[in-house]
Amino acid sequence: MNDRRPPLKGAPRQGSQKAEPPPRQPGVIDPALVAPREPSRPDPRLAAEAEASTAAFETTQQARDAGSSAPVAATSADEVAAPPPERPSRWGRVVWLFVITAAAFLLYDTGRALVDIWSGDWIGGAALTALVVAFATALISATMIELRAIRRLGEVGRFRAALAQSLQHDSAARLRRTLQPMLSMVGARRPELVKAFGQRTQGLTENDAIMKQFRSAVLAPLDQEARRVVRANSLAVMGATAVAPHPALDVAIVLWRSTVMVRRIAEVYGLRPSGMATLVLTKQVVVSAAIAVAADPTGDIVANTLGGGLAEKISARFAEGSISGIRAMRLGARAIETCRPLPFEPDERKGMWHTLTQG
Amino acid sequence: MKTLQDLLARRIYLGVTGLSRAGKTVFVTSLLHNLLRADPTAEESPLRGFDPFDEGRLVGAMLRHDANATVPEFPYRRAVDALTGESPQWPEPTRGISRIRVDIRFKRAEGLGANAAAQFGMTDATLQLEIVDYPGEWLVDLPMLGQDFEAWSAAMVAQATRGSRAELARDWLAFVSARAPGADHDEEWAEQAAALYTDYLRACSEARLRYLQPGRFLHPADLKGASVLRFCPLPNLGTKAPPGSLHTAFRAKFQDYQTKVVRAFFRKHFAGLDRQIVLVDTLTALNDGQEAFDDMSEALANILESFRHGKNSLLGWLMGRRISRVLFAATKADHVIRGDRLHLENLTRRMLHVLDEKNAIKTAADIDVSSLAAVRATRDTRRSDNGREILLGRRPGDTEDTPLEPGAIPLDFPPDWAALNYRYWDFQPRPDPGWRHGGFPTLRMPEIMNFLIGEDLR
Repeated sequence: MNDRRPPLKGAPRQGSQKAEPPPRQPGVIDPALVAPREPSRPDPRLAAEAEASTAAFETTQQARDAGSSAPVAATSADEVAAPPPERPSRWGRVVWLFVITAAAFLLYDTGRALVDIWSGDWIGGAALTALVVAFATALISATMIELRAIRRLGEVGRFRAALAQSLQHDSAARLRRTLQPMLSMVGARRPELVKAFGQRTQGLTENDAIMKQFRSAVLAPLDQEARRVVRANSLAVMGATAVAPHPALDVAIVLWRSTVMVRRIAEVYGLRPSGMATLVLTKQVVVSAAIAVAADPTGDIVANTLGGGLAEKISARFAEGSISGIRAMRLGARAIETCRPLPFEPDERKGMWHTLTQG
Repeated sequence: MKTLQDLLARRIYLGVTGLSRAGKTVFVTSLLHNLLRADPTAEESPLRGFDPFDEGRLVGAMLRHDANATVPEFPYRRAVDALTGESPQWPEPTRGISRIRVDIRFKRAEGLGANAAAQFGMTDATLQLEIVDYPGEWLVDLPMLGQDFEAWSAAMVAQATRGSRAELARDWLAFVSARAPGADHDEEWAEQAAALYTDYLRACSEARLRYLQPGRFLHPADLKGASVLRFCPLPNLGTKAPPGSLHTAFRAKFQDYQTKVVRAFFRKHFAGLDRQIVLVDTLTALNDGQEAFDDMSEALANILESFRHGKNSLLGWLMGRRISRVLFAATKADHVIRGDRLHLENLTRRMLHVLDEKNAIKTAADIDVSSLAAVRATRDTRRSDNGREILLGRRPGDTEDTPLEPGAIPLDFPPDWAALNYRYWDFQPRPDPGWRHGGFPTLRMPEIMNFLIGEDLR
């Protein structure tokens, strides 16, 4: 949009004219030079091709991002991360070597033992081998799933970067391609949103218009849902800490409900986190919340004095509950911003408090 | 029942104005047609991006023919027929003022008020949108209110001798110079002088000059043949006006014009408006060259005067502060390539900022500038050899879509006239059978509707 057109005006415009018998007026272009129209929605016949280009696009994206860590970590962890040490510590190498040695021993020993058993009693050997193979397969596949889930967390950051890039190019087709991975992630849980988006953007060629529809047709309902999750969980925390018989139990409740909440929010935005990925995500959210608190101490103080001070008059237990409830709400708000594919626009934030408080 | 609904409904008066050929008729037609043909089940809709429509809250719209029985109604049907006929054409321009009302039925958005209304079973609501279409030339008359006849005459005569106007004004000036202002008044002579002056204004208007006073001479509407229009500026006015002379008679007519025409218009029509869109044909002015462009700027500066909010406004006592939102739209945005539409908007914005000496536009939150194509006559495409953007459209006389590369939009105001010659094509509407039932394709119309009436459809 913003790019200036090359300074080819006036006379150079006629450069397109070839020496044709009927001289064309300046500015009139040979119909043979008109590019074919871009289809606004991928033609089923072209779908495979589009798919391939998306895949290619993703692989380039992956190749580019291969070195970098998880997504939002890119924004929040960068701020806290200490500069990397000058030389990698030797103890790290020691620990890794120890782990590898132990694993090799274990494998070698298991193999030896299996061979021994096999030579003595082939039936028992076969049964044990089958079990070992099954165990190894289960372990590998579980690890793969974990890894993939953690990778998917990176999707948000990659998507934001890719989107910023394709918004610079004023091409609707390219923007659609960029939105595609995010849409398929959302579509696994809420296919009706993706369908509505497809219908609403039919025939749109302006980037702004498409982005507006993406925000209103896809993100707005997801935000609504995520905020309901936050609200339900912070109410649960509030109630549970108010009635918990022991302070130590408070901590457990808060940790448990917060993890559940972060995980549910990630599910709402299509990140489908597994156990390990939830931990990674929770860490990101906590780090980002900590940064927010450090950067904006007034918010917490206000919450504490207003929420606590008023409630303390009524009941001390209730005051504790309301403070932890408000904290859970803030954590939830950070989690939404971490998992959301796009940062909030100022006027999208307006509905936030409303949904959080009224459901 | 209808009366009850009228009482409950919210009514918004939307003023549509612009100098002639700016695209008022097309804008109103497109706005009405797209609202009337809005269909959420349609695959593609030109209203996509209009918030109430996107949220599925727009139920439907109806034309109301009973609302303004005594005022000329906007010829909606005729305009749609012209645009969607066998050989589509731009509709006949409207002369003078016309009104039309459309009732927009919508579901309320979530919110406190809607929740309260839903308790009583009122989930639907109606917005009565009354569109008032009037010539921008009438707004150019506004500065006349602050002048007396002598000062105004001197200004007009000075203007008539400048630039290309001198040629056009020769007949009229020769005629009025022949008789001294102190001579006895003669109604027949006055009529001749006024006719010659009108001819001069009309010739200027054809030469694409825009700063023409009094505006009623060009668009008399219901004042055709009225005696109040029988005057014109007089050269060589003395300080004293003997009783019974031309000078006295013309001054009386001028004062009549001020109170009975200009003030009456502002009081009757302009003062009641809630929203206002001013269509600005920046492209054609660029096309017509420097003199026309400067003249249009001057006319716009006068129009701006009408929307000046604040107490010092000449008309503050008259119109109060009713108009809450003003949009300046640079029309015919489909006549330039995609990348230039932002530049068109920026050029217009910059022009208004320069003209607006008190910085009212820059600081006001409720005045916006946008580019606009109410009926999109071209399609965007690219050249296959160098990838540059071009337009596919039909110029007058073309029988099929022609690929064209229009001129670029200058990036600054005032444009560098020496460096570039700006050339834009005129386009005719395409014959598209879908337009009659599906609505007109537009550029930025949904955003404009959001700005003007989106808030009222909640």
